[in-house]
Amino acid sequence: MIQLKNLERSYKSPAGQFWVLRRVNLEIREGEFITIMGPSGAGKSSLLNVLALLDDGWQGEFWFREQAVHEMKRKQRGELAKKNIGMVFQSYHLLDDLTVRENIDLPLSYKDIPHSQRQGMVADTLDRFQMVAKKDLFPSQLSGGQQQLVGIARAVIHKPALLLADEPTGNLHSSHAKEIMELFRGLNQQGTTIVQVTHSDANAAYGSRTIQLRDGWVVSDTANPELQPQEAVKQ
Amino acid sequence: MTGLLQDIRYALRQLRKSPGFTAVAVLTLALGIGANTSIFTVVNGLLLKMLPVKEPQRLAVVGDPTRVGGRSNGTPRADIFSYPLYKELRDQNSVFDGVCAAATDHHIEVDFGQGQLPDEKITGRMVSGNYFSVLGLQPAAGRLISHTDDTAEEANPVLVLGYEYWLRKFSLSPSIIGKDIRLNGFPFTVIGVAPAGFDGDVVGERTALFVPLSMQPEIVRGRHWRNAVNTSWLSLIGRLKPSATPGQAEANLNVVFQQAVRGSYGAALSSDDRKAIQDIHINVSPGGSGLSELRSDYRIPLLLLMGIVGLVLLIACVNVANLLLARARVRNKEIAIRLAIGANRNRVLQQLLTESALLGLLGGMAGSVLAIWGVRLLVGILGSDTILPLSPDWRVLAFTVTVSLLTGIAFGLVPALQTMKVRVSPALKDANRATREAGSKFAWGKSLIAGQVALSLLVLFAAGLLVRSLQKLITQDFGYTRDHLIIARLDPTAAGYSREGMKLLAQQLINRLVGTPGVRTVAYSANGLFAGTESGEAIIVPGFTGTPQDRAAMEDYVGPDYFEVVGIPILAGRGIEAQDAGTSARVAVVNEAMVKYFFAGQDPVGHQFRIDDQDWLDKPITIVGVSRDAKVYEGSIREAVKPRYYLAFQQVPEPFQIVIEAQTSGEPSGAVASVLSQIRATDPHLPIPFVKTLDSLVFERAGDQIALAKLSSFFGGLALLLTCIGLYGVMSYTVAGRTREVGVRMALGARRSDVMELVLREAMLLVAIGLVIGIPLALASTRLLHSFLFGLKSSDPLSLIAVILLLGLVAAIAGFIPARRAARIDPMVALRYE
Repeated sequence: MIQLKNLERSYKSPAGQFWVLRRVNLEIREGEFITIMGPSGAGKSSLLNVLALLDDGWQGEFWFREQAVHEMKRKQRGELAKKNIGMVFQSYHLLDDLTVRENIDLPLSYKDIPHSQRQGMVADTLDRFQMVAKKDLFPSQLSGGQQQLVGIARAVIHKPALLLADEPTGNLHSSHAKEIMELFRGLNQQGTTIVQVTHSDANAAYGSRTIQLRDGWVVSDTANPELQPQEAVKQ
Repeated sequence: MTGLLQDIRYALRQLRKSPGFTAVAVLTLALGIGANTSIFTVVNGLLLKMLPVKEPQRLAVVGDPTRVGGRSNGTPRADIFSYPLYKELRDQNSVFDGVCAAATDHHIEVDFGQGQLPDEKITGRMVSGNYFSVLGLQPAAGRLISHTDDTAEEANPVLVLGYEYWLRKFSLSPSIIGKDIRLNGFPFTVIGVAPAGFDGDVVGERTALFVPLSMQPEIVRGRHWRNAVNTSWLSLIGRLKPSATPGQAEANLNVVFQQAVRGSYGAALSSDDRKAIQDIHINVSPGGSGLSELRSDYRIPLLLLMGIVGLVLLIACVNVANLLLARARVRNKEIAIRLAIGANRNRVLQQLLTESALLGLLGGMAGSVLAIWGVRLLVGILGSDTILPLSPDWRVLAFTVTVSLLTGIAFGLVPALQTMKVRVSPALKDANRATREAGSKFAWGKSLIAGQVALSLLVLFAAGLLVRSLQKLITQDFGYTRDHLIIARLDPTAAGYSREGMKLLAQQLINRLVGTPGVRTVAYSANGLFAGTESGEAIIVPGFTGTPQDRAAMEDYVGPDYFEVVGIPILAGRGIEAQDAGTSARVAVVNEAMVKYFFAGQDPVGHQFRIDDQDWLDKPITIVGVSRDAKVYEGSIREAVKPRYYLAFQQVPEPFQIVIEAQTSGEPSGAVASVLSQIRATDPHLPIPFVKTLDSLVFERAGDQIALAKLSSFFGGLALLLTCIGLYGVMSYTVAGRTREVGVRMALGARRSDVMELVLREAMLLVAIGLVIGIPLALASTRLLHSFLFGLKSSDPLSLIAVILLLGLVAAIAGFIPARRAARIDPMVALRYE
């Protein structure tokens, strides 16, 4: 599904160039449930932003279903992301002034989908996530777990092929975290490719593959046992 | 007290800490307060300030305090008075300690007798012998005019200099006293100087000198009004006895007047005049603030402008309130700490209000500086000849301080109360989070902006109406083309011309002026176009009955080719021609209004009428032509044209002046100087009150309209600018508060255009709400302007649509920059922000 070749990301600072991703070579296949782990500052979220096509400032090659993302203009990348990618955030990022139903509808509102069709899709999603009773509530009226549920519903309503989740349970009680992870597992089993960033080994256990990052380098990948930390450093 | 000082100290520190915020807030307030102080300074000078005389509150004006410099020959009047009637009122009343009389002349030629050419024409006041004693004034030098100077006509050629004139022309030198100055060529001896600060009893006029009333024939030459019962020319001011009120004085003077009509004064009047004045009533009003013609012209415009600048100040307050609201979010943590360590909420409220009051006072101080410039601008717009007592006094100071403090409370209260709502625990825990949550809503700020848009709409709509009205007034059809005419008013009587001599002079002037470069054709008349004089008579038309008022018509005496030169079309018959001389049958041209009123359904040409006056009753006048209705004098600009007849100048027994009308081939202002020099060449001693283009005269007559339109447009522009800044500020703040939301939206697929649309839609929604509130408010309020509007209704849809479009455009501009900024938000950065 995705191939990254020698992908690098750096920022300029008064102290010089600061690297957050170094020569990342990675292949993500359809249907995988990948967990990205590593200490703070390792480049996990940066990698996720690159995959989400929110970041434009990288160098290297990025292939998405055999389309050369690195040759695309910003607008094309936006269209690609809109069609194929959904995002779940640690702090939910629901819009306070919108109801549950309106929050879920938000990604659809940016696509050329007729209103009646959107209504149907939102109703299906509410039903699927068992939130029909809460559709007119505002985020502040929901628990953290419920808010994240809305966040996930919003991320998957347009049936993305790739679901990216940045610390999706970071703000949740462990019982709620478990529910969310079960939900991810279910989505994955239904065919959605998932990439999650987490510090939690328990959450990582739901995935089929774990990638470790450190100082911007990929230092281990369970799908590629050949990749040794020492070799990676040498790269 | 200690608490207050501490609050002030802390407030000063807070303001110093945020110089950008303080500068913007103070400047915004300065604009609003400065505008208010400027207008109020003029209101104070023109309407409120007392004359610098002894116990001004005891003065009362007899007659019309706004009719200054008027003269009327005909039926006696009760707004200005004849000298014989003044004597009756002065000597027979029981309510005044003294009543003085005065009259102004604006065209006195001054010659200092040192071989210099006559000085500029100055304004002098002819005053009764008791003028200075009634006002309770002491001389700055020498002595003032007294009873002994105002005895027999032309017996005492003395003058008192105005202080400002003494300063300007003689550098306060006392040696001028005792010396002679020639006024209109006649020597007057300087006997003293009026006190400093006293510019005369007429507010808004530069009175350079004072002469006794008895010297009137040398000031207004060729006329003798002292014993004329039919010439009304004096304004009266009385000093009330300590126990008397203006109401009592009015009652007493009217009794005195009726007795005078029945006595020797009345006996000197014709029976018609005696009958006509039986029912007239003399008004007496408080006179401490003196007389003023400007006051009647500008009273309502100034009060309207006070309302407009009040709205501008409110708009400025909204901007500062929004700045404070935005700042209040940042200060949540500080307030929470204060509350957490035991401050009660009222104490914190006091602290916040002290800060805003201090900001208001700083704005007031800066506004006062702006007002110095603003007052100069206002006076420039009101007219360069105008002098008003505009030095700031306790009233202006009190006004500015009160407005500043009230402003401080007005813009400070809402933010202070909002700040007070802070929840201590969450704010202490996470001040930034609290900031963002509150910032994303900012409901108060948005409500205020909607209100601001409504107020701006009101101010702009009023300005739009006044500008459109002025445009219609100036560009209306006057009945002739105005743009190639020069008008010159001449006073041959003052130069000693007899009536027959004046007729001859008129012809000589025409002969001379015809060859003037740039002048195509020339005519003459008695009143002419916008020359400042007007006359009318009751006429007798066979078959038409009614009271003299019902039979009144305006009149003018015109020379040959007058209608062709001026451009008033002759619709039937002919105009006045050279053949209409003294010996031929008396003829007249009448206007359409006269035909409609007196000869409805008839062809008037060939009909006769007479003037209802003893001297004219045996002189029938034959109508030889009908002219188109034309607007020819000040009062006619806004009114329908009245019935008017034009007699042949050479056929009337008593022409009173000559007005020259010269049609130019090019731009008329270019020919003014040559016309003036040709008139001077004809007779160097002929007094010439003015030579001006007709357009400039029309603009002078519409001065109050022009001033109101200019000023309301200026303040409308200011209101628009402040609203634009306010909307920009609120949208910028809202966008900053919505960074996370925009980031989320973009992460979920929103395009830049979606984000821009989101922000712009919100800005336009605020404007739309403001318009919904503002339109009915504006339609209701602008009814007050009804009497100022010409040719359009106070609900003029074109003005309203223009203002709505303008506000919409400005809102789009104000919203565009924050919208563009929002569209440039990097979603990655925005999401990390959390």
